Parts: sequence; structure tokens; C-alpha cells
Amino acid sequence: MSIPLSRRTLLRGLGGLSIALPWLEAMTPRTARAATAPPLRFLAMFTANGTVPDRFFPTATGSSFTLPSILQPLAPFQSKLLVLDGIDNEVAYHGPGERHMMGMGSLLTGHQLQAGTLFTDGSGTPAGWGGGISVDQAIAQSVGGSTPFKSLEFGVIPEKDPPTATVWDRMVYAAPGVPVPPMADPVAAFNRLFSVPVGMGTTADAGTVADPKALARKTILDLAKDDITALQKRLGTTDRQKLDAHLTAIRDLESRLTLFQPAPPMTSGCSTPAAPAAVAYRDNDNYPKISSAMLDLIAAAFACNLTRVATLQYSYSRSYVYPRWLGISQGHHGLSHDADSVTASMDKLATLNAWYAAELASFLQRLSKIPEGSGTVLDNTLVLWGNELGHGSDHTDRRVPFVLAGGAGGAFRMGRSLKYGGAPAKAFHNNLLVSCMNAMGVSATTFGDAAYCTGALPDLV
Amino acid sequence: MRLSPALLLLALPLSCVGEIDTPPAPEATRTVPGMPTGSTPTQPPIPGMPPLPVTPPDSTPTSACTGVPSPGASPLRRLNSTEYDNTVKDLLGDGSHPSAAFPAENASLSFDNDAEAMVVTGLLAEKYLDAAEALAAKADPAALVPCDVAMRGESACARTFIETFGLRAYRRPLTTDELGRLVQAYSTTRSQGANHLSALRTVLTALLVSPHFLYRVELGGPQVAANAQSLTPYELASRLSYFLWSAPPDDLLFAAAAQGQLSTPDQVAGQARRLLADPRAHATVARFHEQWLGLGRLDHTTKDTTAFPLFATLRASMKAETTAFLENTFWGDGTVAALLTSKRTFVDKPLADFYGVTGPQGAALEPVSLAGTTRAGLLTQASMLSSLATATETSPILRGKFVREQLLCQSMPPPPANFDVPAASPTAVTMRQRLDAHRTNAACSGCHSLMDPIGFGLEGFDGMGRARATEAGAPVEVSGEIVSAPDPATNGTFQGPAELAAKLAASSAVQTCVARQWFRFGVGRGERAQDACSLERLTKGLEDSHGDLKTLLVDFTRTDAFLYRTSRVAEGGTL
Repeated sequence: MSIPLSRRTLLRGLGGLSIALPWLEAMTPRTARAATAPPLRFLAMFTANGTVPDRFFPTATGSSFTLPSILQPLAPFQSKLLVLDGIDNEVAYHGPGERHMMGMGSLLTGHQLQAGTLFTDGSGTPAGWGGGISVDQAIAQSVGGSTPFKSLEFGVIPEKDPPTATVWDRMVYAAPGVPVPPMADPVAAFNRLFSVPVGMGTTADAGTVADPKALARKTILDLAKDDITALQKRLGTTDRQKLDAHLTAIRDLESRLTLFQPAPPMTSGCSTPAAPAAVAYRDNDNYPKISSAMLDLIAAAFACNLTRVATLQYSYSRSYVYPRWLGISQGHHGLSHDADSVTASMDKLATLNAWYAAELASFLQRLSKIPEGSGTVLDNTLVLWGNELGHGSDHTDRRVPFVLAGGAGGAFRMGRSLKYGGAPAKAFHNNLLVSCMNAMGVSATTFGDAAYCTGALPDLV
Repeated sequence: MRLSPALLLLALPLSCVGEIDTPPAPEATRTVPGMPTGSTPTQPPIPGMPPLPVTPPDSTPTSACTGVPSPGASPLRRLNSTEYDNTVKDLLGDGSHPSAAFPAENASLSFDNDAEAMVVTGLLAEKYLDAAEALAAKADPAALVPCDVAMRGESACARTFIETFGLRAYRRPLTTDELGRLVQAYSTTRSQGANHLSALRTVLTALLVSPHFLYRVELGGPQVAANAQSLTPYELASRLSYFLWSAPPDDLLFAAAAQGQLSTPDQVAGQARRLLADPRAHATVARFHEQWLGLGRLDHTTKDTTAFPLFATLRASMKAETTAFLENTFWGDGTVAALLTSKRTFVDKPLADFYGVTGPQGAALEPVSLAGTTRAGLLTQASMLSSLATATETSPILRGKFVREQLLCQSMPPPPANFDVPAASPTAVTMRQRLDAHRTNAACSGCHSLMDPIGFGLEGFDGMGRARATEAGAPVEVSGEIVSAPDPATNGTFQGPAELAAKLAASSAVQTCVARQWFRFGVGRGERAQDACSLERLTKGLEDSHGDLKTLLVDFTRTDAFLYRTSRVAEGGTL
């Protein structure tokens, strides 16, 4: 059952931490929407361990091409796809780390990992966290100011060893060395987006104060900011930077609590999804259920303009997921190490990757059902699907399987298969990140490590 | 947050391709890929760090300890999830584990308390506010700090609350300025129409989202060396309680801090012994074991139900065995050797049947002797053997890698790039035979010679830890070998799990590694060159006590890394 969101009030000043507040019958139905074009949304979606290249990349280029088996589930949306062959994550060949973490850390940041001793427990040279802001966060900084959440991060069992996370598990970075965790529990994510949190000021002050919680929060957060600022002056450089991240987080929270009155513009198709059923969200075998719930939430968050930028991380780099719901009993990482000649393993990898493609297709399907302006939310969404590797058994980060999907507000000419690369003109994945920024209306000519970025990818526009 | 890179003497990668035994380059030219070379340290290397510097035979070993305190880096440490929950439980009596709603804790070097990994981003800041509001809403300020409002008045009681509860929340007395601002916040909230208790709840919430609550702020005391500051007594009290209890100081520690009774290393060590003798230390030791040994892996281990139909029903028994074994062994015999070689363990009937030992009659764990079986110590427990394996069979690679990384503190290099994994010979039957390509293929052998031959010693146990003499009809061979250990004495061949365990138990490299793991856990960061003296003392203490782990923990509180902090001024801060 879904309740139309237009009945609710959003964020009465500082009164609500989550965006939905009590359902007030007296609330004036929201009518006006910003008189501009519909907003553009961006989703970066991650899956792991590379692909089976000859079952992923179409052989033909241009607008007439056949989707190979892995991408076949996306056939209903072929006119809204760009399949990109020949994009190299060149950054992942530089700096410390082992290939999976390097590919993960650079996928959205375009930077090599930081030097450090934090992660030595896998294989490879020791490394720190990702070395730069990720493209979703950069886009969010630019376009996220008009929505309650600058960005939202979702994951489907996004950590190998929960409840802890390592560099293998993180692709979103607010700043160099500052990983942003995704929400892994669909119920908690739903509550954060669509219901009222437990709070104070509801009993003792009832009826005596207009909005005690809002006033108290201002006092509380002002004190915290003052404390952090004062402390920063006395601490060393590294600690100061750590507290900078904390301060930014509090300021973002404050602006979310103060800015959105009245409600931000919403599409006519905005409605709360049904609350997801409680699910053991770290249980391998619940993977499909969690995925479905998260895709519902992202679609609703886009439709209701709760955010314009989201990320969805399936598993983690070097994924050990066991796709038993597909009848496959071996782990993904182990399968990905098998040689191409082991056909049985390649079949299983293709099956899993086709399942991921089907999940993406189901998301596009959701968006295509939500009317917006003269079209649907899908027309105004850009999805970037990427991977920390190109191909598992050799751990290459060249020819990474990238797909762009959605209407992208007309920014790209969709419905094509493109081949890049080949000496001397390398197609760096940083270039693709620049293109995504441009499509989202963010002017940029370079992103990430400039040594591996030569500007936006040609032929997309 | 790593803009000034750590010095990386410590985790130099093994170079696998035929150069494993090559001594490292001289200190001044030693570099790490991706690391700036401008700040090459002049400190002596830490003994036992991989790869082992080869000491010329005629040189006299020199101590890294110069008499000048060398505390290493002292990054700001945030309370992790466990510490947060324990802290609000002590403060408010709230055992609801609010951290269950927090995002996953960043972990590194196996541990979930690495200071540099623990930043606060948007979701966590929001959850902190949510949790603080919920905790304050449930709290009864009048009971937390009793005060007769009728007699003393609301303002005086508010001030008393802020002073008294503030000391607990910040784990030190509030400064005059802090007290003033919190009293002001109370007054402002009152003037906005909140009643007395509600205004106190606002102050309480503010305390719970303050950086002085969420972090263990250490501004330190007087400078004692160019790069070292002493700690205030309250800061030392928190170091002690969070190290051994993962919780804030208790009344006795607060009293010791207030009365200046944490001013000598002996006084600090005395408190450490008191805390260690308290039941609350057990949970922290268990947390260390869980993270060091990766016991959580078992919870996420997935087995093929055809290959291992018993796994699902035995998983809980396996976990219970290892938990009980570690608890009893650490707090009993308490030596590194006992962890690795003990023939005594704790199993319920299902696991006893699985192991082929008799005694236990039901679901309760009972002590049993493993005499007459091939099992001895931790590495032969089903929890370890099944979680260091694949869904369908054993993995000598994972088992060897575990020994290499967690027990010898060596890090493994990455697999080579652009390389097709060779298929096993069609005639290979056993796992050992199928991994033979690792030995014969030069591209594989460099690294796999470090892992596979250790794991081969455990091939007498299948993918879920059942003892076996044959695999697919062929006899299982359990000979193995350790090469390129940090100390040459650990190298050599062995036959089966008992000899592997004995070899590791006798290894000074393993002792050093255990000391290093506790050090990382204790200081909340990886070791650095400046920690050479602290680690030398720990390792020597462990040797002198014949591997006594409780002594190690007390010794840790006597190290420079524990007793001092890096000078804030040297780090760019101000006094």
C-alpha cells in the first residue's frame, strides 16, 4: 500500500530529522512545481569481479547492435543504453594496493589509493583509503542543494565482513580518505527516507512550546560545531582534517533540517513505497530481496525529489557472494579466477552478470512507470553501471564493462554501442566520469587524476 | 585522512618473484611504491618486520630504546561502535546498543578501532543525533544526578547536573568555558519554554554529540621531549579503561586521576592489573581474538549443502568451541603456545561426535582431551578450518595465507596482472595435486610457495574440518613447509598439524607478531618506525614471561606509545 506523498509535510524547519513528518490533513495540497525542466538524476551502480567480455560487449557498433547474453535482460531498454567498450581504468595501475581495491577506490574517484598502512591484510602493497572525492559526491555538491538529501548511498550486502568495512568495500568518498558508507538495511533506509524518527520533546513539552525539538536541535548542533571548531585550532593537521569531515557532516544535516520548508518540488508520480519487510540484510541468500527493496527506495527517492544523486553498491570489490538463488553454489570471486577456457565457470559468471543486468532493467522499468512532465522519470535519469575490474582471471582494469542507461535528459545520444581505445588514443574512465558530470549539468573538463584524464569522452553527445 | 603518509617500514611487501630471501635495501634507499621518499625515516628498523633485515653476524644487537620517549603517532580516536554502546551503558544505564543503527565501522589491520579509518560522515552524524535524542528522551536526569530542586532551585541543580554528568561524558572535568556555555544552553532552552527536565535533556543530548564525548580527545600535558607530550591523568585513565574494558573509566580510575595517582608507570600498570582482573576485561579480550583471528568469517561462511550437509547444523557448535577455547586458554594457561598447541578444548556432543572424541552428552560445552586425534590448538578447530576453505572443498591457500598474515604478520603481494590462471593437470585428484601448477609455474610459485605448503599441513581436514585420510579415494599427504618466515628459525619442513602447531608455537616470529597485533589493537593504528622501542619492550617481555599474554597486556601500558602522545605542536597544533 502506498500513501501519496503530496499529503505530507516535509521538514518543518528543524523539526524532523527524516524528511517525512506527521501526516497532516490540514496541509495544503502541494501544487506548484519549479517551472523549469524536470530535474536530472544520477545513479552510479557497482558490481564486482569484472565480466565475461565476449558475452558482454556487442560485436557491432552504432545504433544497430545485438545485446550479448549478459546484457540481454536490458533489451527492452536498448534505446536507452550506451554500451561502452574499450574504457580503461588506467588510474588503477598506479599507486599502492592490490587490483580489486585499486579498481574499487578509483572507479568513482578517478584517483589512486592513498599511501598508508591501513590495509595490508589482503594481498598487495599496503594502502590507505581512496584518494579523492567520488564523482557522485562531486555532482551532489553541485546539484544536491535543492533536495533534502544531497546524495543517498545504498548497498546490497556491501561489506565482506560486516559490521566492519574496509577499502575493498567502499567506492564513495566525500573527500580524500573519507569513505561514505552505504545504507545496507532496507528497513532502516526506508525509515530514514519516509518516516519519523524517535525524538525528544514529545511528552514533557507537549502543547507548551511550538516546536521544542527544532529549537533544541539548533542549540545542540551549534554547541557541537563550536566544540569542533575550537578543538580544530588546537590539534595537528591530520586531526583537523578528520574533524573537517565531521563538521561538514553536521552542516549538511543542519541545512537539510532548515532548508526544506515548504516541501521541495515533487513529481506527480511521487508516492511512498510500501515499507519493506524486515529482512536479514547480511544473509547471502536474501540478496535478491534486498536488491529489490533498495531499487524501490531509489526509484521513490528520485520520483519524490528526496535526492538527485544516488549510488548502489552490489556486494563489494572481490565479491564473495554465492549466487545460490541462481542455482550456483560457488562464490563469485572464486569463479572469476577461473580461466576463460573453463566454460562451466564462464557460464555461471555470465548468469550472475545477466542477473545484475536484469536488476538494472527492473530499475529502469520502475522509473519508466513514473510520469514526469511530458515523459517519465527514466527520461531524466542517468545510470552509470561500472565494475572494479575488466576481467577477473587476469585482474585487468582495461576494457572495464561500462554501461550508461536512462534518458539522461537528452544529454547523450542513447541506444548505441560504442568502441573506444587502442593506441594512441586511450579512453580513460576518468573521461567517462567527466561526461557524467557534464550530463548532470556540472561543467568540468577534468576529474580525478589529471594524468589519466583528457576531457569528456567523444561521441556520447 | 591520510595526507601525510605514514612511514612504511613495517609492512614492506614481500617481493614474490624469486627475491623473497633477498635482504632489503639499506635504510636510506628503501622505498615503498607510491610513497613519497622525501621523509625517509632515520629511525632504526623494527626487529622482525618483514622482510627481516639480515643482521651481519659480528654486529652487536642494539636496543631501539634511547631513553627519550618516542610515542609514535597519536591520532584522534573516535569511540567505535562497541565503545559507544559500553559508554552510554555506563553513563545512562542504557543497554540498548544504539550502535546497531550506525553504519558499518571502518576497519583496517583486522581491527575496528583504527583511528585513521574512523571518520564521521553524513549518515553517522545523523545517527549520532538520532541516538543522542533517543537516549536523552529515555534518560531520567533527576535520577542520574539527584538534586533537590525545591531547596536549591532549578539553576543550581542544572549547574550541578552539567558539572557532574559532564565529567562522566567528557571523562574529565569540564573547563570553566565549557560549563558556562552548557549552562547558557540550558538557560536558552528554558527561556524558549522548555521545562527544567526537558532543558536538561537538551543539554544531555548536546553532551552526547559533542566531539569531547564522541572522541577520546587528548590535548596532553607538559612536553617531555621534542616530539612527545605527557598525558593528563584523566587521559591516561581513559587509555586504560578503553584498552582493557572498551568502556569509560570507573569510579576508582576517576579517583586515581583526580588524586594524581596515575603519575608513575608503576601506578598505571597497577591499575592495568586491576582492570585486567575485572570480568569486564573478558569481553575486550574476546573482541581482540574475534578480530585478530577473523572469527566473524564463520558467520558469513557459505557451504555447498551437498558437499557439507552437516555444516549448517554444526556452525554454532564450532563457533562456541572456539569462543570457549580462547576464553579458557587466555584466562587459564594464557600463553601463545597454548593457543596453538593445546590438546584440551571445549565441545558439545554434536561436535564431539564430529571430532571423534567422547564425553559430552548434550548441547552444553564440556572440556575434552584431543589426545589420540590429529587435532591440537586453534588451527585445527572446525571453525577455522571451515571458514578458511571454499564452499565445496579445502583451501590450502586460504589456510596458509591466514598463518602468513595473522600469525607471522607478513603481507602477501597481489597476483600478477594480465595473467590467465593455469588449469590443473587433468590427472590431478587431490587438492595438493591440483595446486601443483602453483609450484611448477614460475609466475605462481613465488607467492604460492609462501601459502600453499603451510596449508598442505592441514589437508588432513576437509573443507569443514572433518579429519580425513583420503581425498577422492587417494591418500592425503600432510607434509608441509614454512619458508621466508621473518626469523629463519621458523623455516623448515613439518609433518601434519601437530608439527605445524609446535613449529609456530616455538617461533619467535609468532611471538613478535602476537605482540604486534595487541599493539595495533591497543594504540588503534598500525605500528610505525617510532614505535620500535615500544615493540622491543613488548616482545622482550613476552619472551621473558614465556609467552604470557596477560603480562603482555600489562606491559603494553608501560610502553612509550601508551604513556605519551606525539607533541601536538610538532603535528601543527597549538597549545
